[in-house]
Amino acid sequence: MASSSAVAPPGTRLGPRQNLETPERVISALGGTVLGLVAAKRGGVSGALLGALGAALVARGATGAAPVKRLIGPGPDDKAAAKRQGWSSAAVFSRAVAINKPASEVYAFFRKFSNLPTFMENIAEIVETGDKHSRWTVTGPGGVKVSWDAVLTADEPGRLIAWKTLPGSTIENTGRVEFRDAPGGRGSEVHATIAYKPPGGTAGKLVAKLTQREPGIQIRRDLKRLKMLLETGEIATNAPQGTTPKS
Amino acid sequence: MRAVRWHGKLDVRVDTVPDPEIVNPRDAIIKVTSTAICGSDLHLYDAVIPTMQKGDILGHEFMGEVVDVGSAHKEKLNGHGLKVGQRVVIPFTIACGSCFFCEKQLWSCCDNSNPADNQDIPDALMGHSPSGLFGYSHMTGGYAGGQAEYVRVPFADTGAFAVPDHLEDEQVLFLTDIFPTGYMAAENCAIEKGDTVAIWGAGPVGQFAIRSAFLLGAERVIAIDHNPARLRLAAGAGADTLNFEEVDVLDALAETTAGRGPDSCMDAVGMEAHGVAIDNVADLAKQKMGIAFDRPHVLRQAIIACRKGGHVSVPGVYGGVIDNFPMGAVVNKGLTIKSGQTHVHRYLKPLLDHIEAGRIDPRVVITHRLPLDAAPMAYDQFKNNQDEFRKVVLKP
Repeated sequence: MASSSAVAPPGTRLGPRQNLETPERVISALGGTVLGLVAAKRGGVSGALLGALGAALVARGATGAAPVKRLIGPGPDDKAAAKRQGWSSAAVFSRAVAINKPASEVYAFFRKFSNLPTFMENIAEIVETGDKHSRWTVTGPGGVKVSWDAVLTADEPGRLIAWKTLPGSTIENTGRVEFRDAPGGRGSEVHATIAYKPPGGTAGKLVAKLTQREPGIQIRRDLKRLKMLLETGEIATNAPQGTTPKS
Repeated sequence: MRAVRWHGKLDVRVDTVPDPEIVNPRDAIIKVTSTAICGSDLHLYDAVIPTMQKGDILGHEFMGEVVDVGSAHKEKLNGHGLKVGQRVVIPFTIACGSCFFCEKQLWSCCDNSNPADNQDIPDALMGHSPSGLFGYSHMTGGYAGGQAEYVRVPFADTGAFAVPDHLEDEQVLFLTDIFPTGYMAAENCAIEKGDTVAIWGAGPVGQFAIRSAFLLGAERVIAIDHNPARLRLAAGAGADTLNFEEVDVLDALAETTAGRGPDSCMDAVGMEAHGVAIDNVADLAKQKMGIAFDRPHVLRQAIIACRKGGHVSVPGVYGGVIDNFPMGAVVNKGLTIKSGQTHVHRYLKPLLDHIEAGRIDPRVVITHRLPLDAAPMAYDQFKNNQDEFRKVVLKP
């Protein structure tokens, strides 16, 4: 456990297999039993299906393990972030990319926030409004523009940039981007972690995922575009003749 | 302009589409003078490669004249930038030239040429994304291909390779794909003096592989196919031939190598193997039902035939996962399997030298020279009449 925790980036860890508390286990087992009784009375195909569902619920209660909930529900990092930020719920994503340039160069490019919209697809504009303050305008699901103000919480040249939104923002979020020299002199690594309070909780998070506006998908593509831009001077595109998958 | 577009399974059409434009600084626009249909285009024609979209422009073997360049070329006109009017061949693999993989000469593994959104599928399917390719599905970029009058060539400063005027198109066209592909496949056989190399598939890639194997010092090459014309061409290059319709290939290879097996075995067939072996019929059924991408009959046979400690080289195209892979033979015979989309960029200069010196004449594989508008007929004939239609060059 300890070794995996040290390597696994935030957002990638899964909770324990046995992830149900006693009250939820009791409800699950009782509900399953009731369903089983109803199913036995009904019979036929629908009865068999209900019976199977009942049996699954009984098993869920008996073992205390809900594998689906473990995969799509909030993980330990989401819960920790929500607690830390004082949010009702949080979604945490992290992603890393190797870039064939020194960490100092990557940091310098990233630190100039007006550069970020060139490779971050969702971000329409970032205006630096002060020494530590910036105003972000983002295109959300359905093309709706959303703005918020962010403040730098850490800025270590060549190493780290972190920010969080000011209280009362439409979409509360925090970001942390670490720049490291890669082992063996092979350029650098960028490790980005984003936590946000999904509007609409877990359901809102699923909607964002389906419309490909989810930060987990965006962060992966954005880091690839950052890498392309810094390594080649441009961002690969099949436009205008090719068709890019709709996002 | 006119361009060959994919409209679905067994349906390609020549359509009028907008001309390409410069999009990025390192782009160039090429006016295509010659373009070929590749055996791997038949995998698209048969719709066994996922992520094709209706309207995609096909073609990844093309050459022509530079008619426009992006700003990066103009800035370094005295350096390495391309100039308008230059005559160039274009590698089918698109590569940036500056990432970790390009610096290691692994051009077809370039990190930066497949657009970020297009990398989602290969990331999920294969763990990582290969380079972008021209006209070869959206998981490798969704780039418009070269069976057209004009093509936009990304990273043209790295890819486009100037060719001398005294060589005609057909002598240098195949530097774009099949000659380097056959050559790299022969390199992957790690040929040593005295070696026997068995090559499944005597199509155009197989023909270049046969000739490359001899260039690299093979003592003996055995070509395996069922197509008499292909086998005759292989024999003309000095290969021994086996027709798999007439002999049991495993028995014949074992006997002719005195039981030892060929020192290296090459699968230049790929995911759509022919033949009525039990495993292939089962694979065909699974492919038809949509529960398997690939039919790896040849790959299985190459692994079983190969001598202990030998090399299995796989230039044939595979797209997904395969069943009943004889891993036990790989482990217990200590085989080395080598494969990859071709790192075309690294072979351009050395193979051009072979052509200039007359050690190989790429024109031998060509059977047809046709106008672009003949593409639908050419695809159909290339699929159904391979004895006659071995290699088609289109002239836009």
